[in-house]
Amino acid sequence: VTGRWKVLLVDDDDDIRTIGELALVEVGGMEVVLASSGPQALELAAREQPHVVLLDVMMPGMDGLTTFRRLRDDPATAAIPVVFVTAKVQRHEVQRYLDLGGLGVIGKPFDPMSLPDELRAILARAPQRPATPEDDEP
Amino acid sequence: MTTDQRSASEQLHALRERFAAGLRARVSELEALVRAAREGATSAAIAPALVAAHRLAGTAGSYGHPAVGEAAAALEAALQRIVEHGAGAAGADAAAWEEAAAALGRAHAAAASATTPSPGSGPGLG
Repeated sequence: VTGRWKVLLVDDDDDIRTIGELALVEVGGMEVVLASSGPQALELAAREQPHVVLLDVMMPGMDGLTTFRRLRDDPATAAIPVVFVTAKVQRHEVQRYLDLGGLGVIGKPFDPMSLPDELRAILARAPQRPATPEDDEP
Repeated sequence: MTTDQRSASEQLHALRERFAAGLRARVSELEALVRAAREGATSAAIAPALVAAHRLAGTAGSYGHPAVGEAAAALEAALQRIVEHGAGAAGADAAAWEEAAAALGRAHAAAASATTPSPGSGPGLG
């Protein structure tokens, strides 16, 4: 993997996409692809092959958990790590998302200035850490 | 603070100012949705208010208005309880409607006193 991190940020809320993009691009120096729905996320994940998907749980139509299952069912996207973004961050809820196969959970509201570090920390402590651009740094 | 961080902080401040400018109107819209929900007293009538409360709960804190976000989260929880108990059930949801009204009042108060943190005045949830 070379270049900057590529993050697919999926959220139906314009305000969250706007501030999330600012945080990841301007604070974190990452590349961001935006999706406003589950179906759009499936299409963009397959085409853009991001390093990680930041996936809102509660979305109208195809919700985050259904989107997650569809990503896992598609060989083109099955290996892409998914971090859930949700306001429901009680211990048992977080554990549920992890048991489903999510790499981690980021709570809403998130701090835009620390969101990139929070994401990096989740990826760094993953048992089978996915390849990231940092792996190519000397 | 690096140049990039300063730029990000300034852009964040501009975003927050825009969000703050519309905050009172957003809470007023939420109030209208809650009023319509109570008049309709069905799960379908409550759904728009529930969605709006959920969105405000998820965004306001990131834009520097945690008190508004917390009030919206309390409103969402109260509306959710009403839906789960069966909207319109006599008596059972009276307390939840009272909680919803109180949460809405807190959201109004917090939005009315909302100011935008200055750039570089501190991270995140100012």
